Amino acid sequence: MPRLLLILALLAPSAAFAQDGPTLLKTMDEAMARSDDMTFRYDVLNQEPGAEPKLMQLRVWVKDTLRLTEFEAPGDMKGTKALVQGQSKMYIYLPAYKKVRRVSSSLSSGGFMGTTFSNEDISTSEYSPYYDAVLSSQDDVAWTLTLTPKADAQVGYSKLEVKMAKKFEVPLEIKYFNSKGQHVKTETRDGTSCQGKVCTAEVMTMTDHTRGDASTSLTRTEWEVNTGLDDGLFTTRTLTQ
Amino acid sequence: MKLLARAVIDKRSAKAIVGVAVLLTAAALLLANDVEQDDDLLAFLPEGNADVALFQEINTRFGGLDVALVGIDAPDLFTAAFLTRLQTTTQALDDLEDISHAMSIANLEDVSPNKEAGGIQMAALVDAIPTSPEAEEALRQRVMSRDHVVGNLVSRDGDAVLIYCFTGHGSDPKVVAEQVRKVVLDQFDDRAVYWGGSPFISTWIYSTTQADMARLTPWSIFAIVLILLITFRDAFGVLISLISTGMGIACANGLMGLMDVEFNIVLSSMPVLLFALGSAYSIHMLARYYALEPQYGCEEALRRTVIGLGPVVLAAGGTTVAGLLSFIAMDIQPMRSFGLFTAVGIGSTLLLSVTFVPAVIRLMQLKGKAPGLDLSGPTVALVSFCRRRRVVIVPILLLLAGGASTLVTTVKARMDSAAFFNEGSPPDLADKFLAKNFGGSTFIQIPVQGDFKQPAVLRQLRYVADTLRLQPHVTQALHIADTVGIANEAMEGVRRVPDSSEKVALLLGFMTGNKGVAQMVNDDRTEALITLKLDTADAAILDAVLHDVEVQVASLGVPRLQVVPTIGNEAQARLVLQEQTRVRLKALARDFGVPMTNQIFEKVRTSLGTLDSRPSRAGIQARLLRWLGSDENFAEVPEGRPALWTELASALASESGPLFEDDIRSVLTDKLGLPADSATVDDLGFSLEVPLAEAWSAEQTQAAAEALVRATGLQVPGGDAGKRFRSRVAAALADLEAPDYGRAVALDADGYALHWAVNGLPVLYRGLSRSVTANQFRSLGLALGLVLIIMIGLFRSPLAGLLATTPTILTLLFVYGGMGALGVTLDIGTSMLASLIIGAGVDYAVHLLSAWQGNDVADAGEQATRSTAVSIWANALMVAAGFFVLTLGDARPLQNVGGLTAAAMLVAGLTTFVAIPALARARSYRSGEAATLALPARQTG
Repeated sequence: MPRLLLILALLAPSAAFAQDGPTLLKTMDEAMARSDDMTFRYDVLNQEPGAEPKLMQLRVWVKDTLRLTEFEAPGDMKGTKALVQGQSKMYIYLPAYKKVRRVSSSLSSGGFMGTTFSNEDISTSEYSPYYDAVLSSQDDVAWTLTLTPKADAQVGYSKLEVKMAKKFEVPLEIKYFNSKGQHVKTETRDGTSCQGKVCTAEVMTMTDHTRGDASTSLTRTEWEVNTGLDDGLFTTRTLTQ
Repeated sequence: MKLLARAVIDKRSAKAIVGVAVLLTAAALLLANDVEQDDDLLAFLPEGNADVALFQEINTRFGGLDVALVGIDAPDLFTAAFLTRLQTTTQALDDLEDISHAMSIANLEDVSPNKEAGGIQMAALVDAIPTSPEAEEALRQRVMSRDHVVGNLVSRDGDAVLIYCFTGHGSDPKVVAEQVRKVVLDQFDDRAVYWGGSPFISTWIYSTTQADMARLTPWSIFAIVLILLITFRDAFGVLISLISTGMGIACANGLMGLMDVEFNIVLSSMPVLLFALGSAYSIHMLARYYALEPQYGCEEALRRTVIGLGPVVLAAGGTTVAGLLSFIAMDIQPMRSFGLFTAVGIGSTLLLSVTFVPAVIRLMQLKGKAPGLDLSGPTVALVSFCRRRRVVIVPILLLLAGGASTLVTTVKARMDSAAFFNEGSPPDLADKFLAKNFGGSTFIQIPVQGDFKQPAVLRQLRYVADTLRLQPHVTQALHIADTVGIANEAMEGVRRVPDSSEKVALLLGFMTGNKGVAQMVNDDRTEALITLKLDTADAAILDAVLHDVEVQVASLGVPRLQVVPTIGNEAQARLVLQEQTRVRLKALARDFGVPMTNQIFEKVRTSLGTLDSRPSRAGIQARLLRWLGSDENFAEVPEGRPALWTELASALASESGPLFEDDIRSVLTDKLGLPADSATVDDLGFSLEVPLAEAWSAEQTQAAAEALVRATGLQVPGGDAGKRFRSRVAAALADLEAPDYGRAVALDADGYALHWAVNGLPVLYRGLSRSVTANQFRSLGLALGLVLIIMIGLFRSPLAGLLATTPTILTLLFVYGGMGALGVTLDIGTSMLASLIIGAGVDYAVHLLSAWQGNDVADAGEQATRSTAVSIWANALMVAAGFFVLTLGDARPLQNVGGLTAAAMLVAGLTTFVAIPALARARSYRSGEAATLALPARQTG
């Protein structure tokens, strides 16, 4: 019996054995979506060349493709909330205005709140619906996938090069290329750790090579998984509370 | 000198002198390889000047100097073909490593109300390339309706576009200019393209000057060599002269390398200057040797030349070195470098002319010869005439000098862009293009320190900006209060500074990282910049505008502002808010081209307190209904009540004032038939209060705007522009209801401190003009003083010293008088003239007076002229020719310096042969053996 189990285990579909690009990409998407929900706190450090670094603190709730972000610092922004219900649909709550504003956007580029992360970078939680993948290389630590947009995909990049961790099956590094094929940004995800099967990076850093290597680092200070977030949290009604 | 003469006559020591000179030159050449180029034009700004320091601080903080502007003629702007090219170009520029962000209408983000779902829609302004004439027209309407885009990114007639390229931190302007030009021309090589902004202008000035120097220096040297060859018909002598000058240049460059000094744009003219001025010394030595050699043979002729002429050449060269060293009195660092190292070059050439050149002559055993071009005959005639007719000549010279002095006073120091480039040059064309289509490219900057999260402070900032916008030639006033207003419009539908500091802080927080915003306010919101765009680059007009702006800022730029609640202080609040609103309305009228005569303005003044601003109930109802039907209303329509939103809107709309939450809840309970604690009542009760208040306020101010237009007879344009104008007027009138206002108080009172300044290129030009004038006097005084001391020392007589400097002083008067007559202004280039003229021009008088020996004054003049005329005229002609060549280039500073120096040298030669014979009273001005040793045998005409 143990022998049979071993054979079955070896035959089970596994990323380690199905080393083609599309499968690996799907595996990565699944790995990033292994939780029902997650809650994070981040310290955000924005560094423009020649300027003083800027600090922000965010609290983020994630469930499926829904994402709620609340600014905890700086003081000017405290209490501001953003509810993302898709790549082009967002609600923001501005405490000073006491109102919810619907923001529909067809913009994919442009820094989110002055950071090097664009709205698209922030809101992308899965890649396989938008990109085709080819396995271009691998080493002991990671597979390197080359992602190109699907024909009808509305994305801001012409190519991504993703280093996917063999151990955690999540991205370790993503290189972003513009329409001319130039490498414009690099996102590194360091200190990956797991709670059960759910693995995320402790520090995510996006470096924008077109802005003199301006960078934004998100350092995870709190992380909870599967706390049973209610769907009601991700409604406009909750934004006002 | 006797020791030196022995050294050069002795063959062995002559070889040693040549060997040491060659070795030193080789070492200098090695060091010269390390000299780098400094392209920083800002280095030419005067040091220790508060305006310059502030200018550099402003531009470091707000990045104003880091924008490259590309203007393109685009009569087909809204066609698919043009927009596709513009998109490709903007994207390619944005992708450049040295450009942090490129912006044109092709990639501009646009915020507009989402009419279907409510809220706001963020999209590209050009969200789709139009594929039909109708789509083109629709896009034109959309783009031209954006007031912040028209006049900044698209011309008012819609026939030209501007691309802004924000350069990356620490980018090299030359690299940026080159890359941007290449990318743009890839797509638009068939168009008129205009290159503006600091990276293009500074690169153009540098590249043109360097190209001119690279192209013209060989021609300049060729002209010098040709004149030398024609004059002396001695290729070897000319070669020696050129080699010694080249060695002098190497020494100067080597010392620069040793001291880590960089080449600058002025120093690039050093080779021409050294070849023109420096070769004179060896020419004088050679000419005298050639004259003496047939009579005395090589060694004796050399001895007599070194002992007799050496001190004269050293003194003459010393005056040139002194003239150049006088530049150290200037407060412009590159000019000091220029003076110092050109003086080193001249000094080296001078030393070589009394050491290396005689040593080579000794080793080569050169034979004497008569000059090829001998102008001594006519010059002697001129000198004799001036001597005979001195009673007439002296008064004529005095009259001319007096007339010239009057003209000298009309010479103005004026620094503006015209000092750097000519009419028709690319920067000039860009200036004109930007003035015609985008309101100009000259900017006055007003940095302000304060707390810009405070609405009252922002309104004060806007009040000052609006007042300045109303000055003649000011076409635009850019500032953060307007941008906050635009952001607020996205949030609550009205383009005005919101009433709470929390709202302002939030809006500014959202705009963090935006390049455009970063040019108006710092991240701490404690420093802001008002940028005034001017439609003129004319220095005289700029001076007047600048003066007016400074007066207004001094008058309105309050140092401390106390924010006072309107309630309880209604009378004063009304005064302050009405004054700000009146000016706002006048500035808006100017922006929209709506005539506002003094009569209309007076009507505005009297109308503001009495406007009938009763809102339209139907209007409030319509606005509320739109919100209830939008996605922003998260309450759902209860089943079976499809008309509920209409009923609610009708019930809540009131002319008497917006309802508050409790009143709203009671209406809801009544209309919905639900208990007060039901979820729907709760949701709507909470969320309706703000939209209702906004709808009421919008209708009220719109009514007030209509009333104002009626009362004043404002000629509001029709169509979309008219609608936008009315809407902006309504927003301005909303400020009359602000809950607080700013009251100017004493510095020691409680309140927000504000600090205002006026800066920008026009301020710097004015400062530079003052600096140039001060530098002119400083260096002129120092040069004249040093030269006088050298002259008195050489001739051992104050009177002889004064006589020797008289031709130079006359030359200065004539040249500067000529500048006054021709309207040539004093700038960085022309301010170098005086010291050059003093240094180089006095040489002629030195040589003439040193050779002044005869039986009587007339005889002395004739003999001196015969022995010096050839070398003096040869020198004057070759310096003139060498510098005249520079006028053939494109660089304006070189043209001015080249032309005026050429003229000055010829005038200096002429005044020497006119003034000295007319004023001289002695048979000799030098004593001792050396005075006569180098004089050739007496000649007669």
